[in-house]
Amino acid sequence: MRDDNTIELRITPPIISSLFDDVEHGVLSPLSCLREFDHHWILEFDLPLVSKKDIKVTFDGNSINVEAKLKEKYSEEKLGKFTKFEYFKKSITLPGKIDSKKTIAKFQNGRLVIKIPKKVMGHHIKIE
Amino acid sequence: MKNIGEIEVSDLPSSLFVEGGEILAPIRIYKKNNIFAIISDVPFDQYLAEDFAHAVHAFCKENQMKKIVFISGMESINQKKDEPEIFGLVTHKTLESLLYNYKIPKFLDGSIFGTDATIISVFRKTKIPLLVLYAECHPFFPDPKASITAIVILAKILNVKVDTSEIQKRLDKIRIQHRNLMEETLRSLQEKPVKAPQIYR
Repeated sequence: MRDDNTIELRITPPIISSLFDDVEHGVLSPLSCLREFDHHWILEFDLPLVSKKDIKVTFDGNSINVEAKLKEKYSEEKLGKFTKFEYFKKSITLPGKIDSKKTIAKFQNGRLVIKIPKKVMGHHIKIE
Repeated sequence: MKNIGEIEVSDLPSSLFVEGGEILAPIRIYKKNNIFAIISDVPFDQYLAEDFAHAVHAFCKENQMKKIVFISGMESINQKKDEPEIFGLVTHKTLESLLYNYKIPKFLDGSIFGTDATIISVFRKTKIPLLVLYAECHPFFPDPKASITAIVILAKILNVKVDTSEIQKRLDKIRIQHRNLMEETLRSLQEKPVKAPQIYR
């Protein structure tokens, strides 16, 4: 998904994802980054150890929710004890209205790239 | 390789690592035969990088090093090929033959900012030549595939054998494990008014 003809306006790099891991329910918070262009955003999630068929992307207003099941359980030491993780889960709220019908996603090399067009909310003003 | 020492950088936040009960400094020097390797487990910004580069230069001068190879990343969200590409940049013409011999495309045009720029600036004023290997990688996500590609080229240059088969099997798990390091690195870079190093835009 190349965007050679558009100007990148802003990049929002990942926030501290690992702090939002849900140890109790075995859910990892994936890394993500948001890039803003003139007419759309590119939202990217790093989802290693995941198959395309196990990814679920949903919308809720201006939020995009991503949930993905890991191919195998991943163990990591958290708070002094080993925890097994089975899912990635994260919700990102975009800083504007989104056109969910024209949103497209691509999954390659364990990275989910979602292209989200901005919804243009406006009306013509008659010039007298 | 054998751990033979460490590099202290003043102003670097105090940190230590413990591995198998052994206390390790964040920036360590390893040696095997006539090859030295310097590894840092902590990210540092462009301002701390100057002290680091001078300390490395002093060490290299004392040990009469012939050349230095430094590995870095080149931002590439829209990577064209499945395998990341490696580009080379040299501070002294004497190292250009390495680029031809190992078929490493030369980094021809672009800008270099931050930590990389500081280290290159220090060495280009010295008599010790530096080769920088830039691996195409994702700017915000861990990219072990890019690291492996760079290590394979480095091994050829140093004429040493490296077996990456075990790492290849664990690529996905390494990406999950290294989320924290990636976040710490980005945070360290964002604390100062400089963006993550990027060459092409």
